[in-house]
Amino acid sequence: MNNTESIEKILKKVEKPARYTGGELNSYNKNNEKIEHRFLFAFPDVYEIGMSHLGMHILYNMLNEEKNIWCERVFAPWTDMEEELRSNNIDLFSIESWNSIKEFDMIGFTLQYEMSFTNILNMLDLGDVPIKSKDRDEKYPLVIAGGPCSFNPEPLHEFIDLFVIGEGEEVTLELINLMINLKKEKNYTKEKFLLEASKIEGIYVPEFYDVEYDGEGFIKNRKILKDGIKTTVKKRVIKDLNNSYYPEKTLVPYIETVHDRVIVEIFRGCTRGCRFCQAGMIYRPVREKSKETILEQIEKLIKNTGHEEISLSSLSSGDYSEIDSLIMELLDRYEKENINVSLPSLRMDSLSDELINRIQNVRKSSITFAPEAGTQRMRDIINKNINEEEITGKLKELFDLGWSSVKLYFMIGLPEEKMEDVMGIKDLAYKIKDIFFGRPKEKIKGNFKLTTSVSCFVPKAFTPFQWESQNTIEEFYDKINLLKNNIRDKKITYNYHEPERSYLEGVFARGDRKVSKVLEKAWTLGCKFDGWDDKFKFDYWMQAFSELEVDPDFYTNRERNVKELLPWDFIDSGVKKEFLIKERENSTKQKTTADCRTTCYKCGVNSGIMEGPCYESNN
Amino acid sequence: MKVIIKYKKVNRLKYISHLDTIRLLQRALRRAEIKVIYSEGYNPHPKFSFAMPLSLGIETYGDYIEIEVDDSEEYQSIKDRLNQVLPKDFEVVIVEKSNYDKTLSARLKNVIYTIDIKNEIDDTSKVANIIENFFKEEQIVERIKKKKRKKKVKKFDSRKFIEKIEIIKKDNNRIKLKIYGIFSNEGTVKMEELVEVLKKLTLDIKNYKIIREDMIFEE
Repeated sequence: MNNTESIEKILKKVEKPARYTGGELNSYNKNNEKIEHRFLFAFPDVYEIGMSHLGMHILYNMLNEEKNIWCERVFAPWTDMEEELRSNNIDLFSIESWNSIKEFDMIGFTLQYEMSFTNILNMLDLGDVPIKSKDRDEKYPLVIAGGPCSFNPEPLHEFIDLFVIGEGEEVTLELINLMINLKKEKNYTKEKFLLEASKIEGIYVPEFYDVEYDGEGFIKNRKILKDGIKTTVKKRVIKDLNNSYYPEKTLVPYIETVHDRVIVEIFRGCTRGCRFCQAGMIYRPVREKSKETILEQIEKLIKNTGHEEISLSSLSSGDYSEIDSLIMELLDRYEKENINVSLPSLRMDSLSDELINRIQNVRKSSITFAPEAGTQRMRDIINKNINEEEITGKLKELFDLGWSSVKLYFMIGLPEEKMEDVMGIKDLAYKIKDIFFGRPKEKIKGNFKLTTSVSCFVPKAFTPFQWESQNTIEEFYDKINLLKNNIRDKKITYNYHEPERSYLEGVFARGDRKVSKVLEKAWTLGCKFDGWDDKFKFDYWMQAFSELEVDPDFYTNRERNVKELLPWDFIDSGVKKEFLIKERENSTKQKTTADCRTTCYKCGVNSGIMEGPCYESNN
Repeated sequence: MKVIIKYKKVNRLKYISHLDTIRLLQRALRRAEIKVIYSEGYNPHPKFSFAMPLSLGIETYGDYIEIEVDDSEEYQSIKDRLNQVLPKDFEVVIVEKSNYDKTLSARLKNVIYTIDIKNEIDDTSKVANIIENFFKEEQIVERIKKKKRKKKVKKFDSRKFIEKIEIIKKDNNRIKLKIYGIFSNEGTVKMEELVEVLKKLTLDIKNYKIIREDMIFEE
């Protein structure tokens, strides 16, 4: 049983108790109001990460602006809190009302990264909610999930009652209202609700389907188990970003979080067409917010939160059509109030000199570039349309203006990569160092620092690389060590991601229904917080695979035939499979595809999901 | 112009730290559009000065902070403007103009706490004796300080940080203690440490709640 006194007792014993106590400015307490639906937004990682997630702020406020709905939050409790909860027999509780998560009508998990999946099972279990959908009847909350990982939902099909595919703003409210109405009519059963919900566009209910596999584990066919259930699930899209819901006030955390600032989304989607990038495919088409809307939203948010930093959010902010004037206006307006303008996901090559000059007066933080690969051949394969001259030329300019700290992001394990491509990463880093020190003496200012971060490529669903084989752990290590042995310079820091984790991420990124039991097994063995270095237990994962006789390599280290039925083929992301195949062929020929603002390559998103041209200039 | 703000911080807000409190106030001042004087330099921040930090988990009805605001501000309106934008468990009680050269912490003399004993005490008449005994002889507190693996033990007589202890009767078997702590350049005693000392002197205290009530400053 949860009571205030017992919770207060354990709060005294845990690290950072404010992770669990809520009450932040702009949070909602509707304890004394007439509520028809209690929704719980669940983020399967700690508070500090979850509170930095824009999607949460949008949904939390949107739902709470409805008088009859109370949306609360829960985050994954850190291991010290978990121990206290378990040993004191207290259910995991929401941070607003401190009620058990079991008392809600609906729990909605956001699926931001595969390595948070074990936390979902753990959180349900901590709330005394059965982890499997089939074991939860009407007494329990309905468990739903959405977010980018729901584009390959099958690895979670046993645990989640219903998935939202695509953008959740509108559809979540439709689901809640459906439940409210059924309950009002005293007509609510879980079965009836799921049946009605499955008719809504963007909703996938896994229990209405069965998948048959052949002896080797390939998908033979998907069967529909109920009359009237759709074969294909089309993703949901917000058509007009200017008129879609955006909060005027957001939660202001007390404790330090990863990103603690005003965030305004400036556009959704991306026109660059990088072939490795899932976000660039699944969030199509590009939809921009008008500059006026953005400025108005920022003004309200600053007034209502008191934040000291503004951040523009998108997949590639430099591509916003009025980026220069937007940043100028923000600086004009907020610089004097000591409010900082932060520009993540900004391609420095896209900024005008005037703007760079202006930014450098404010703050000289580090410059970030993501060439993604070390050689031009590789960059052409992945369609990262930036060349070495563009990178080095811009950097020289920036160095002359006084910048001295650079961060570079790369991937290894990309399709057709050779060892010389990996070495290209080192070469580029060294070249940049030479550019810095190769300038006239009087121009060299500041302490040069270059950070090279290398991550292991994970092929993702709905990208042109969805058929590719991922590198093995050994191959990744060979490449990592090659760089480790060759980057030997005090001024250059070399970081890399653990291949073991990328390997597991690969299993779930392209996994089918068969991996769900591995997930459950790994969790029972003690896996949780797999995204955290000190909590990640690779051995337990391997034990789970071997005990259940599931071969992880089937999902990672295997090139698929384009004719193979893929676990996510029943989802329509708007981008046609033929387009992905064409892009894959282009990649093998090192043929690049230009930004789709210049030419339409007919990916399909503007004929199936949204009518008409998706970018104003290419009518 | 310097102003002194007295505030209370209760309920769930007792779980936020000293640094969190600074951030909370900075943002509240911005929301209230109060013109705060910022420090110069690379990373400008408002000039704040606290009387004394508060441990996590303890409620306060009387903490003080001094801030510098633009001379054009009407200090009489600051209280209401802040309270309009503060979360409900944080409230500004008084705002006064400050004419002191010394900082708040330099002027701080006493910190007043209450220790609300939740359990029933068999014989409350003994409590006065226990308090009396407390002041009779040395009451040593050993405080262990960890600094980068090095353990340092600080021993001190807790009496020198306690001016007086009053007993407040709640009902027949329940009492509250009102503690007048002394804050000097040698530091102070923590209330949790005082509770341990009183336990040793056979005070029957199992379940209790510490509240910081107020502070007294020298003029």
